[in-house]
Amino acid sequence: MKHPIGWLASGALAALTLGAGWAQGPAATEKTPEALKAEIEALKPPRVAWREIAWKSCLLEGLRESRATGKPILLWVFIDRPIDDARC
Amino acid sequence: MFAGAAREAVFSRAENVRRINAEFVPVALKSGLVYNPFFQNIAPTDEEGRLYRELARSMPAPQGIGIVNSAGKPLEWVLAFDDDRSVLAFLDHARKRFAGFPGARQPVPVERYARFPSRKLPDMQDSGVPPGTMERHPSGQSCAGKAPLPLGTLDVRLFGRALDKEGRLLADTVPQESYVEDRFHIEVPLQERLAKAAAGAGTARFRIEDDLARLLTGHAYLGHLDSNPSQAAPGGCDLWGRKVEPDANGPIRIRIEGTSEARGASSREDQRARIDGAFWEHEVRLVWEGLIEVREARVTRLLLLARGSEKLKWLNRHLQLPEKADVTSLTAGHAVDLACAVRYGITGEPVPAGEAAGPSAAGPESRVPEHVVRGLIDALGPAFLVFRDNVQAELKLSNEQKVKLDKRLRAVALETQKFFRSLEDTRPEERQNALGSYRMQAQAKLAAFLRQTLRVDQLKRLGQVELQQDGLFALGRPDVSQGLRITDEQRQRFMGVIQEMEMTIAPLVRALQSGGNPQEIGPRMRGVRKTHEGKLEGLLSDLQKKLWMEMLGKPLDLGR
Repeated sequence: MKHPIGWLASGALAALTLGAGWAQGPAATEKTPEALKAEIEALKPPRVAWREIAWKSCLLEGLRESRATGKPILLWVFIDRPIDDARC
Repeated sequence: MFAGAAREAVFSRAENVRRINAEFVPVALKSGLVYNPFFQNIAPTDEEGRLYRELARSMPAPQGIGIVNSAGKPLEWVLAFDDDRSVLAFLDHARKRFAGFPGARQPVPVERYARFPSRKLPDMQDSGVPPGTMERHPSGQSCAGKAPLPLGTLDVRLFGRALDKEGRLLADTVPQESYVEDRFHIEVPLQERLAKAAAGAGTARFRIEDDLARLLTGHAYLGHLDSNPSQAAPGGCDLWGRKVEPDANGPIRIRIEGTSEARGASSREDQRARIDGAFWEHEVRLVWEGLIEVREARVTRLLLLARGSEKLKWLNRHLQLPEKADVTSLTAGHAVDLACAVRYGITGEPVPAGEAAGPSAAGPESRVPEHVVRGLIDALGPAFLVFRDNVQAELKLSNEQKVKLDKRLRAVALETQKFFRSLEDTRPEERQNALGSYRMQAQAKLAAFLRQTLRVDQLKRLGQVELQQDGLFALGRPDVSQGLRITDEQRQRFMGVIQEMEMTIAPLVRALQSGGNPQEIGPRMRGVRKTHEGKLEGLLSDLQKKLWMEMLGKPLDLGR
């Protein structure tokens, strides 16, 4: 791990460098909506392991399917929002 | 912590995923809906509420993984596993138990494990409560498991990645300290204020107001919820907007740039650090760019990127945490020691009209159900009786007044449900304080609304009905106390009765909060209340009793 001071300094340097364009007015390389969207899309992994489970968020729907298929419900009770594409 | 660890250690393993999808019906529910009866005041129907309570009564903790049969009866609960193979063994075991108890024909004892299979807790015998027969939610009523958002809300998703030393995205996207997704919402008023600020600034740059800037930048951090660097104090952010490419026919585009910095750590004063030993520090520094499109005072698209650096440590003073999420310790989490470059992307789009709450989703004729009104009265106080049909009939409201009250009720119900959802991640003591404060604000806002909406004689009658609901516990109100000319000595004795009642009721409240059946406990609580109201009445003189009856006016049957 880097020394904390070194880490802070590098962060500050990055902020100064990247912020410079804004201080001088509109940058020549302002991204188009399409370019921004492409960069954001590139952050998404092709497959997220935990999303492979087809969770239902409605107990009644789950019970209906359980009766129709003869399968038990596997119920996950949680405090946060892990199946809602949210941090948990 | 449990949710994140379970997602990583149990629900991200390929073999577990394959078997769960093939052999089970996977259902995920929020603890606030299932476990805590406090939130069930706004459960969608009594019958559905019974299903939740049946689950909650046998749960060994507010979170867990369970197996439920087709009648809604829980068969198993587990909080952790001996090792990875034990997860698969648990699935085998669950299938066998389901084969023995698939439906509602016989009583079902619930097996419970602190850790499967080595640490078994005592079984919980069947409650005897008949299983629900409810097939689906009533027409026009949404599922409490996925409450719709108000029309016009912006649905925002965030993606964050840690980078390796060469600046490449880390490939392992299972742990949240290397890949994080988050989701939040931007309400209409915030969007309107942004549009107004942009319109007022012309083509000059303008500062993005703090509420919006913090909302946008505050979710950008790696790691689980408890490591939020802004949880103690909001981070610093300096976001600026500038209107570009003005076009009378197209959306207004606002170019966004700026920086943010968030820093947080556990401290000796941090209650969590004292109780569970969690020790952490977290710092995030980012530079932002992007754009927001606005049309008719609503954000129609949001695209933001951030780059920077991040440092996160998560340890425990009492435990040696594993390096990765582990099925043996789902509640304690795992150690993190991270210092790296990071990238974040944020996209936002309006919630589709068909999925939103409001006229286009619920229809103009839909009404707030009676049980929700009762929940509001229980949670916020007797003034909210004004939303009950029989009270409105008693007040002889005009059609115009009814329309105003109906509109107000929808707003109050939505606002209150949102407030309760915001409490789901808080600790019980924080919850009580927050509810107390919210109740006072809600009462003050309703009182102001009613003063403008009702006539003086209607307000007077409503006041009488409120007193009938409160009973002699309204003696705590200064206006009632003065009206009855309560002496200092009576006030002291009154306090003594109240304290005695609180002590008697406290264990019942605890039983309720730990999954007890409200249908059993509720009548006992009402009995305690009635007994102590009798004691309060015994403190009054004959004249005071006469005055009290005059204050109540003609009795109105309020039912429960």
